[in-house]
Amino acid sequence: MNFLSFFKISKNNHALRHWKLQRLSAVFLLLLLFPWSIIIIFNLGDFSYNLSVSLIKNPIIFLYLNLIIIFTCFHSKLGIEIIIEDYVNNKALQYQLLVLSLFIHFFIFFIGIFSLFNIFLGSGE
Amino acid sequence: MAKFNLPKNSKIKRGESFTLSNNSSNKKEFKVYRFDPDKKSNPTINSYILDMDACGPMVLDALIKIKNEIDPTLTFRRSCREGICGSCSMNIDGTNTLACLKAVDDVSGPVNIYPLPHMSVVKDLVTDLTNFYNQYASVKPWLQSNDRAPEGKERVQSKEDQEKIDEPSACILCACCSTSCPSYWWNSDKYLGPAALLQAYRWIVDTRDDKKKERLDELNDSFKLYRCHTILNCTKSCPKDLNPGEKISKIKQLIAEENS
Repeated sequence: MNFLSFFKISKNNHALRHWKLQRLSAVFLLLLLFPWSIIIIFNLGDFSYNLSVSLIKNPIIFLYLNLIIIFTCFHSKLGIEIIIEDYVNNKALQYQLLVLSLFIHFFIFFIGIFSLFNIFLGSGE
Repeated sequence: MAKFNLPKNSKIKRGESFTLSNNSSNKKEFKVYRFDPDKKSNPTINSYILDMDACGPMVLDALIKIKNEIDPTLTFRRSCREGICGSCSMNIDGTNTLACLKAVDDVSGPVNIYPLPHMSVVKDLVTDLTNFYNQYASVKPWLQSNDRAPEGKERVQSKEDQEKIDEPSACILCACCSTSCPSYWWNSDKYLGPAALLQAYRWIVDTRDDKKKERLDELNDSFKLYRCHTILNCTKSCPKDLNPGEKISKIKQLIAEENS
């Protein structure tokens, strides 16, 4: 298969789209989390509040952490959807849980992004 | 919701014990699941102690000995005794396998024998495979060609093309794979399961078949195919050493290619 063709996400093909997006978001998340885990490991023991704030105030790290939050929430939403579809057979309850999951993920997403902006723009100190 | 507890009338109770090896030094205990729908009582585990010097080496030999010499009501499917028919599939020592291919000596301690997991039990070790066979039929496991076969000849295939279908054609539909799959346990009414998908793959890659696109479109469904989460219990439990998990992944790749 052409490598780039894997990134083509068809809108009218729900099952295939979900499968592709879950894998793509997992790969992006791995690529994003690996450097971040290196940063954390090398700073263990010296990860003070001030250092954390100064890291987030760096525009590149700020952008990078935003991407981690976006991909984490997106990947988690896709995964939780699958778990709900797997284990909840009652259609009405399944629909309610899917909507609840969507709200929870949006909530976590907005809290994460808001917190980062709060620190980045200076009021977080 | 998925049911994690057994209903009251499905809880297993202790059953009877039988011994057929009074003075033998080579004894083996077989704990066998028993359920008779006519008795309207809970299933039990009966214990049978056999003299292995007077019994064949396979679990199926032991079951046949129990049926012939101790308890003729013990019910199980069996036919070929050599791993070809797939009839004697059951759960032995915690793993789905064929009783005719499982050696008694491979099990340390008592040999626990249960029917295939998460299936309706007809009686004892016999499960209801109606849904399983319906799912197999749903993938249209036959050649669909736009051309008529050459007069008086076979549809010739190259050796390379034949090799593509060698492995999936070796499936004996014993249901060990499907009934070991947690996704199949929870959604067996909608998810086709590894056995049916392996057979679907067998016809998708057959170069003589002209309905590849239609077959892939049919499988491109959230439940029929994508409930496979690559747990790979199917591959581990296959008594014929086939790899349904890999073939399901290949179907997903083919669908992605088809739609790219």
